[in-house]
Amino acid sequence: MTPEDRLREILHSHAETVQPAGDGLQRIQERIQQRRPSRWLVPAGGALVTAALASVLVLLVGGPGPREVVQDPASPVPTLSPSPSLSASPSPSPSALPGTTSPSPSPSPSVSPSPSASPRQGILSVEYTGPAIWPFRSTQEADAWRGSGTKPWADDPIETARHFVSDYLKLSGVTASIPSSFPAPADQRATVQLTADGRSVGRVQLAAYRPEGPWTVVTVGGTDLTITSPATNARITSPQRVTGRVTGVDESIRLDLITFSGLVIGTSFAPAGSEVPWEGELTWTAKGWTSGAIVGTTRSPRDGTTVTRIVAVPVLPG
Amino acid sequence: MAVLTDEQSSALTALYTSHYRQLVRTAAFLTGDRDAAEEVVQDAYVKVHGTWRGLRDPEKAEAYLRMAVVNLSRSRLRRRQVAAKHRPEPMRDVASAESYALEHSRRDAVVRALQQLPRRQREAVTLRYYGDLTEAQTAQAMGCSVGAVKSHTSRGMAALRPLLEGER
Repeated sequence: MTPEDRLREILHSHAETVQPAGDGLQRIQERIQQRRPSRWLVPAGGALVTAALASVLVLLVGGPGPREVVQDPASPVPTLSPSPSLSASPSPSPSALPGTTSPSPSPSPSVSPSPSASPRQGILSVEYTGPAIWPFRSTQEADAWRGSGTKPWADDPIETARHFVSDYLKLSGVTASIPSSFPAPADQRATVQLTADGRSVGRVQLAAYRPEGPWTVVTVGGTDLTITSPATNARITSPQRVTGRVTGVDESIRLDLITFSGLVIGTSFAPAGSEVPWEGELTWTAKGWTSGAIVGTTRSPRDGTTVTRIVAVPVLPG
Repeated sequence: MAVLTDEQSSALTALYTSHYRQLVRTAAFLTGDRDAAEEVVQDAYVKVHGTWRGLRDPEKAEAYLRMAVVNLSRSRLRRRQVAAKHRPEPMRDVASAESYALEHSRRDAVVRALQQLPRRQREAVTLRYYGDLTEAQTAQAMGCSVGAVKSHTSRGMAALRPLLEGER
């Protein structure tokens, strides 16, 4: 018997001594039933209700409390911020988004309560109002999607990330899989791992416009390839200087400006070296685009095609 | 109070029946705390149900559950370590007959050694050799690469091997 087989035997034998209590299912069901209304839906009207909702949102933002923290600390995601109208205290500063190091002066990623545009009348729901790349950019677009019969995958963050890679980035050989960190459902945010050739090439940060979806891609980051400028949702004009960092040696970073519709309107390459900031310039002539993303990728020096890193930040036309 | 639909309820029951016990045992290895293990797994079920609608897809739900259990176990350990400044205690065996005392003692030594491993090594070894997961499944659950799983498993086994070889 090999040491591995012996270990298996010991662990299975020892595990037999752990006998869960018999009421596990009942406790799970109770917690599911108790959880939903208290976290998401409150009747409209009334100062107490408003205060209660603000308190819940403060907890969601990350205030002290018993809430389990399961978000990968290396992967900050869009901040949930209470609407100013519901809280006297200022909204927390937006977290640095993956792939960027400088927060944008433009509207921070946030989830704010809104009595309007809710699929349910007479109640408040929580909606995401921050930056987004694709396939939605606003609550209006998200609400229009529901019942449209298009993009049936958009209520699943992993499927949304997969379609983002194949339909928007048009990258082959990159797989979107189970998130590297399990998201707290109430956060309306998720991280999905991208891999190529068995190695991590980035993490897609997604946000859900409403608790029931749909999901949208906010940024891509999670590797040592970052874009430091322009910032998230910055307004850009051609020619646009793009800067960032990467730790690899003698890397060539491909930069693409991709519009919301998936059209690549500008491409350039930026040479980069270890620990030295890289700098590139994007130029384009296309007009009329309403939003897009600057996407940076590196490829394997072995074959020149296998993607090794992906970073993407949303931008707006200047 | 929200009510589970029939479909949700039956999916949840199926998921519970097929995975709950093993996940609790996995969490017990990861946290070194049997009581916490059950809470961790219940948390994982609640999160999976709320987030992914994954109950409709058993394969996804199982993978999500495993990942949630690993992450929640980490959170539990962090919280406990910060709060109490103590190392995880090994699981306590139920009372065993004297005739099995020696064997249990040897096995306990292995389990104790497992729980003294660095967290990622402990996770990799537990998921590989108790959960019987593939390297790829382990990587998914831990949120790391297959290469990292190989490395953590190898180092963990290297630390345990003297005990396992001496145990035969």
